[in-house]
This record gives sequence, structure tokens and C-alpha cells, in this order.
Amino acid sequence: MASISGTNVGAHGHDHAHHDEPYLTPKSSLWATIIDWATTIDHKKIGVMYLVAVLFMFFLGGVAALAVRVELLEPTRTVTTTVNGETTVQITGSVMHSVGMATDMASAGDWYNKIFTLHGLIMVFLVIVPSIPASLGNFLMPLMLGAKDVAFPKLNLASWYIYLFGSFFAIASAVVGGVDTGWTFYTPYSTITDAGHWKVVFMILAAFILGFSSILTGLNFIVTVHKLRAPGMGWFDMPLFVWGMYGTSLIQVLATPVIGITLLLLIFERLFHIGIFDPRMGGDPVLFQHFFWFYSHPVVYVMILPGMAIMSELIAVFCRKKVFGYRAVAFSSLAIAAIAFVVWGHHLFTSQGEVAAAVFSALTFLVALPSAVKVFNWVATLYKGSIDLKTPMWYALGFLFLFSIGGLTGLFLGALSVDLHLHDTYFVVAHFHYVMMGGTIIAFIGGIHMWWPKMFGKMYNEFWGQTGFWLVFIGFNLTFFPQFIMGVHGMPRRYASYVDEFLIYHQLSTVGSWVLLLGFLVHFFNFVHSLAAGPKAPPNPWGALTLEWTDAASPPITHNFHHEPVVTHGPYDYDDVVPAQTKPGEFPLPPKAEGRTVHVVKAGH
Amino acid sequence: MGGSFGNDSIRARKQFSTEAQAMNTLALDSWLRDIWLKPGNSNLAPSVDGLFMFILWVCIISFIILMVPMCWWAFKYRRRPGHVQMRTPNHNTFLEITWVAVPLVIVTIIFFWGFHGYMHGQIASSQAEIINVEGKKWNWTVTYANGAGSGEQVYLDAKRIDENTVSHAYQAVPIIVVPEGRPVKFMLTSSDVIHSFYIPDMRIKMDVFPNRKTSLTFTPTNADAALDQAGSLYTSAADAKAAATGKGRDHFIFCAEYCGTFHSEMAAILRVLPEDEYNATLTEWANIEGKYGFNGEKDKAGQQLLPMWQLGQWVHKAQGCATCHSVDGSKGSGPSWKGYYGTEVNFAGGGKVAVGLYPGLRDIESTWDNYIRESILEPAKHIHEGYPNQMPTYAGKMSERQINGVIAYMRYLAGKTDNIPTGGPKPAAGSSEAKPEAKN
Repeated sequence: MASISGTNVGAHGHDHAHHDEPYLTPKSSLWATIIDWATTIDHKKIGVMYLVAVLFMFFLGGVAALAVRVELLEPTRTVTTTVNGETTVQITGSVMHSVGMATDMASAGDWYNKIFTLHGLIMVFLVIVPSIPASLGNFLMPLMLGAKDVAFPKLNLASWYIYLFGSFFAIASAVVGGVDTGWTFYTPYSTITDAGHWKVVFMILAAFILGFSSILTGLNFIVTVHKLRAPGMGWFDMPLFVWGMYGTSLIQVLATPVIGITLLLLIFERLFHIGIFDPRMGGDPVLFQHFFWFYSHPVVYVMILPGMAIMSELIAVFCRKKVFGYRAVAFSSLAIAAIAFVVWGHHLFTSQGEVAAAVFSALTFLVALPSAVKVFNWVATLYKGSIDLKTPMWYALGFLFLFSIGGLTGLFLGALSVDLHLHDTYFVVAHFHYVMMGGTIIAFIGGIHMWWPKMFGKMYNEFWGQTGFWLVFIGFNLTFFPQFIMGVHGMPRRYASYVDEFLIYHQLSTVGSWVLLLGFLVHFFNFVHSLAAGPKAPPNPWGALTLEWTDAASPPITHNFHHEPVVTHGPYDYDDVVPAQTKPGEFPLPPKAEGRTVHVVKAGH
Repeated sequence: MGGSFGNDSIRARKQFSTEAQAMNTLALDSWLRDIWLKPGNSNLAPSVDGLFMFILWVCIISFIILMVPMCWWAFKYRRRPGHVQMRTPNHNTFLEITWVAVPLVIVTIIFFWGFHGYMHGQIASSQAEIINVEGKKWNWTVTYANGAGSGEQVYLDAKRIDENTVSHAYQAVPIIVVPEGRPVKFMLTSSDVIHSFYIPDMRIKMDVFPNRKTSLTFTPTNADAALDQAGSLYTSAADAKAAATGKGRDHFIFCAEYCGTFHSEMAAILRVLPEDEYNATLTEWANIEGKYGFNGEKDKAGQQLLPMWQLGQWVHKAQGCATCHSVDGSKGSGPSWKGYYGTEVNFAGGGKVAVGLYPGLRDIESTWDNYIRESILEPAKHIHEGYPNQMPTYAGKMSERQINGVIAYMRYLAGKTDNIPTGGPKPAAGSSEAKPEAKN
């Protein structure tokens, strides 16, 4: 088997000098550089711009979350003091109450409601949905496939500007006063609240516009996977990251139009009172819930599949093993994408008929199976590997820990009788934070660490990376685990205040949120330090076998590869192929076996 | 150890250790139960709690199956000088089928168990006591078959901090009584947005819609207040009364579907009473209006009725006015009633309650009485400037007598004494409101 890839095979004719420079090379002037980035159709630059935007939005949504936690540090109580017949009434335990008084709001509740709504909207529509596909996906997919760019580079730039445009409406809505609908926009509350004010329409419009960004990115990725695989790369030679992106893109393209239509109907309902969701006009508010979750449940998998996609890469690279049951993992991505479309009703167990509830409960349990397959396969991949406990691998282990809890607690919610008790309590809040944050965001941060050297050509500091991981991991569990318990004890979600029996859990949770903040700050300064003064990264610091490591420089050149790569080995063939060592002793050879040849792949050029 | 009874001894020890293990497992189970589950108090609770514990064990065992190898392998196969990865099979059909098939069996069990328990909360017995509940921003109104509404309110989590200071969570909330050991069926509807009727201790909730009726059913158990964990729920005077008589046990009712400004304050108390107490309470609540009267009104026995303003005080809580209108001057989403009556009020969009505009032509009383009446029946017609237009109409929900009571109460809170019978309590505006304990 010939094994050297990235040599002069299949040489390409585009050897313009400036395309051989790293894509990050600045132009002659600052202005020219800005113009270059603003008009770029380079998937790498677009990916980096998304990364910066998503992380900024994560910061905004995180501030909102911290504000929510601070408000919940103590329950709001009315303290009445009577001295000599004089009665004074005081509200204690509410930060928002003071803010509300200062801004002449009727209630502390109004502020609280706006802030948790802002947290939800930002985190869902501006952070998690675009996070991994738009940033790492954009950057990595063409590199992993050995392509020069995505299939439609200009469409890719359009997606980015649509994302900015949608974000503008979301921020504008928040700036002119914020909305208190909850991120789910349930009718008839969302059609009545702040009637006559444009801010709610702005926010719905933002979600509507952002949907188009998702659809176009998804479309682009699907075509890229079908058409731009390097010579020699069959479907089952693709890295599992690409499989995950492919599943994600299918859901985005199929489900997002539904939310688009739903949100338009909601806007019409607010502005023109068409009465499709309004019970006073014969409409049905539950219809909105069906429409909404028909999109928003599949989108849960838009959020988690990319996290799973990163996981498969992290585990394989840092264990130097082929992912156990590669095909099962690949197909489980598609199975999850397919089942995702038929389980939306489990958000409505308390609002739909018995037959529907039974059907959706049964279908919901089916999702447990492909998810279980993935988790078991990842753990099995560790067996007899050579496990490098660097920051990305710690994040992979953290993902397995947290996502297992998130996934397993889904069993409680899928069971009908138990869900009647737990629905809309903090148990649900904890469950989806374990999946969305403990899954997607944890994988995202792990992925950023892994591909950081590739994206920016600099190494990060390993000590501070791991310190950050432990703070995030401990802070996360401290924040969210107590929420499971208080949820089972009956604490409803979206409450600005609570009765005293939940006090201890809320206090643990709030302290946890501060530890979490500290962890993210450590990561932030570690990245800033790396950009400013980090050591230069070698082309393949982890000894990975996918094309972005073996055939591209760190950072990659504008055209990605000097020559179109030819794929001669699978992405995880660590038993047969060894990348060239970047440091002596860094990548031990696989054990010698009878009749086996070990192939060496050169890294970078 | 003697050979002759060695075998017996070993067997005995084996048996003992198995028993000890079983005991340990049970102890662990009940320890977990104590952490996770508050005592359930309905016929639904055993099924829900049983399934909850089953799933909890499934989770714990699965988590251990995943985490122990993960941690062990991550340590054992960590990269270090001289260690390289070893060639292992890339997949194993038997293993992979196992970890699909075993979860499939488990989730099938969970599904049927959950469905079975769920149907118990959906299908009511034909003998069930039907109780109508209406949710509106932001309170629950209950109507019993005999026409009675809730006649008693409590502050949640009321606590006396010292001699002069009391503290409580939320506004006063209504008490909903249910009979012990008899199935009840709550018929739920909403007059504005979606709410959700949630009773954690009964392990059930159901969404409440503006365009349809939904229902939930359960049989309350454990009316014995002595069973209650002291101090775990309430320390209000109402609970003290229940504790003293040994009758009645209180549970929280929350709104679980987000409904706006005071979503977290949309609570109520479910009080489980023995059958006879339940019936007596309903009779008392049904006749509540007849207990109050204007100056000089007497009951059949010739006794002076309780003052009319006290009916207003009752309505203020029972109809949920208290959610938005305080009586101590503190700001809510509606104007406080303290000292409100007879003041000059500007309307949003111009106009005002014309007080003193044409002295002698129109007196304060008829102007204000009419403004209050209009605000109850057609709240959107004239909005007090600076307050949101969000009050639902009470037309058909409040009798004329109750409206008169509200007017008398607002007069009372403004220090006007003409509805107070001679010898009745002198108004000391708001002071009796300040102490939740004093009300009961």
C-alpha cells in the first residue's frame, strides 16, 4: 500500500505567491486588512470571525446567567416591622428589586424575566446553534476533506453577514428594553406582552433571520461533503467530525424553515391579529408549541451532534486509536438526526392528549439508543490506547462524565408519570444544561484547545489550560447538580423568587456559577497570552492523521494545501500509520507485528 | 473452627453476609430516597416514586459502568515513556449489540411503567369530587360544587423573626381544601395566558389553557398534620392551627408555566382535610357573604353582622386582588389601596377621577364608588396613569355584595369610618395587615 500523502501527486495549477502565505498574514495596511477580512470568502477567515462573534455572545449570555444566579442567591421576602404602632414594609433578598425601583418598574420580576429570556435567546440562537458548525466546522471541514474551500464560498460569506444582521436585531431588541417572553415565545403570552412595542417583534425577527444563516451554512456543508472530498476519500474514510457536521446540516436544512414560518406567523399574530394562535379568535396556543418544538427539538441535536463530532476527534487523536465501531458512530449520527424529527411532543406531556403523550414517550426513548452507542464506543476507544492527558483530552473525559449525566437524566423526563412531576422544574433546567453546556460547550472548548495551534499557529499554555478545565468542571457540577435535587423537590423554573426550603441548593448553584466564571477567565487569558506570546506551533503537534494536520501548515496557507492531497489511509489508522515525529519521542511507534508495515506520513510543508 | 459444623457456619456466614448486603442496599436505597424525594401524599406518589428510584438506580449503575473503565483506562494507558497503544479490534459485534439491546429492554420497562402511572393521573374515578380552578395572572381561584370559593389565605413561609418583625415570601395565597382518601378531580382553565397547576407533593401537574379545560386527578392521603415534618413547610399561624387541632396538612401549589411578572408568586396552598372537616369547611366558605353586613344589618337571630369592610378584606385575598394591590402602601403592579380611596387619580390618555372639580355638584363618594365598580367590571376603561393595562375583568366572578365589600374595605383603608358599626374595631390603617399571624 502506497502511503505517502501530500506529495506532488495531483499537482494543482494555482500557485500564486500570496496564496502560499499563512491565511493570517496581514495586508499592507490596517485598512486593507480590515477590508480583506470583511470581504473574504476564505472559509478559515469566516470561521475565525464566527469564533470571535460566538465567544463574544457567549460572554454576553454568560453575564445574563450570572445576573440570574445572583438574583437567586436569596429568596425575595417581605419583611414587616412594627415599632410603636409604626409599620414599615421592606423587600429583602432581591437585587433586581433595587434595580426595578431605580428604573421605576412595577416589579423585580420584570427585570428578572427579561434577563433570563436574554440569556436563553443569546445562548440558543446566537451561541450554541452556530457555535461549532459555523466556527470550527467552517474552518475544519474543507481542510479535513482536502478541499480548497467550502462548495459555495460566497454563500458562506452571506451566511456570516446574515448572522451579523440577525444579531443586530437581537441586540437592538435588548437595548430598547428587552423582552420577557422566554426564549420559547409561548403564545398567547408572547402575543400579548408589551403590546404595541416593536422590541418583541425585533427579537422574533432576529431568530427568523438567524435561521437563514443556519440553513445556508447547512446547505453549503452538505454539498461540500458530497462534492469536495479529496481523491481517495470514500464516505467511510471521512473523519467522524465531518459525519457529525453532515448530520447537523441535514437537520438545519430540513427543520429551520419550520421555525421560520412559525416565527413569521407569530409576527403576523402580534401585528395584524390574524388569530392563528389566539384563543380569543379561535386560534390554538398549543399549535404554536407544536410548531415551535417541531423545529426546536431537532435543533437540540443541531446543538449536540457537533459536540459529539468533536468528541470523536478528540478521543481518537489523544488516545491514538481508531474510534471503536466507526460505522456505528457514523450511523448513530444519522439515526439521531432522523429520530430528532419525531420526538418534539415530549415537550408537551402536560399539554397534549394521552395517546399523543404515549406515542411521543415511546419514540423519545429510541433516542437513548444511538446516544448510548456513541458513549459506549468512545469509552471503548480508550482501551489499550496511548492516552495523552492534555487539555483537550481532559475536556473529552469531562464531556463523557457530564454528557452521561445529561443523557441518563433524560430517562426520568421521558417517563410519562415522572415527567408530570418534573416538567418545567429545575430538574429540566439541570438536564438540558448538562447536555447543552456539559456536552456541546465542553466539547467546543476542548475543540478550540485542540485546533488552536492549527487556527492561530501558536501553542497555548498547558498548565493554565488544565487549570481552566478543572475550574470549569468543578464549577459546572456545583452550579447544576443541586438543580436536579431542587427540581425533584418541586422548584419550578423561571422563578424570580422561591420558598425557603430551596435556599441551600440555590446558594450552592450561585457559588458554582462564580467558579465557572473563574474557569472561563483563566481560559480567556490563556488564549490572549498564547496569541501575544505563545510558542510557535508545529504543523502537527498532536500527531493526528486527518488531513488538516498531516497536509496543512499551522496556520494553513490561504489555499489550504500546496497540492491537492490524496488520501491513502483512514483518519484513525494509528495502528498502521504514524505521522512524522515533530519532536523526538513524541509519538511512539505502534508495536511491531508479523507481516505489517508501518507507514509514515510527513507533516506540513 | 471445628470441622463438624464448619460448613454450617460458612453457610450461615454466607447467608448473613447476603442479608447484610441486602440490608445495606436497602439502607442505601432509603438514603437516596431521602435525598431525592420529599414524602409523597397522593395515590400517584408510590408509582411515580417507585419508577423514579428505579431510573435512579439504572442511572447510577450505568454511570459506574461508564466511568470506572474510563477513569481506569485513562490512568492505565496514559502516555508515558515506553508505553504505546496496542492493536485491538476496531469493533465487536456482540458487544455493540449488547449495548443496544440491554438499554432497549430497560427503556421499554421504563416506558410502560411511566405510561401506567401517567394514566392514573389522567382518568378520574366517577366518584371523584370535582373542583374547578381558574388561573389568571397571577393567582388561582377555586370554585367548589356548592358554589364556595376559598375562604382562607396564608402567607407562604411566614416567619416571626423577633417581637417586632415578621417576614414572608410572596403575597397572601388562597387555601384549597381537599378531602383525605377521596379522589378529587381538578378542572382547570385560564382567563388569560397559559399557566400550569403543579402540586409537587402530589407528584402531578397539568397545563392550564385559555381555550379549553384540562384536568388532573388524584386521591390525597395523609391528612394527619402530626405526620408533617415540623418546620419543613410553613410556620404560619394557619399551620399552627392545623398542627394544634391535628387536622389538615398543607402542600404547595405552584404555577409551573411561565406567565410573566409575578409568575413566581402565583402560588396556593393545598390543604388535605379529613372528610368531616372538609365538608364543614365548604359549608362555612359557601356562606361567607352572609356573615357580613352594613351598619344595622342583622342576621336571623338578630345579631349584628360582621362589618362590611371585612367582607372586602376577605374578597381582597380570595379573589386575588392582593396579588397586585397591596394594602400597606407598597408598590405593586396595581395601585396600593392604602389611602387610595378619595384621592385624585389621573387616567392614562387624559381625564381623571373628578374629585373636587365641582364641589357640591358631585360628591367624592359616588364618584369613587362608581370608579371602583367600573374598575372591577371593566378594568380597561380607565387606567390609572403609570400602571399597566393588565387587570382582567371580574364581571360575573364577583357579586354586587362583594363589590360593596371592596368599596367598604377601600374606604376603611382610607380612614373613612362610616361603614364601621358602633363598637366595631377602629381603623388603624394597614396595621392588622402587617402581621400575617393576626389574620387567622
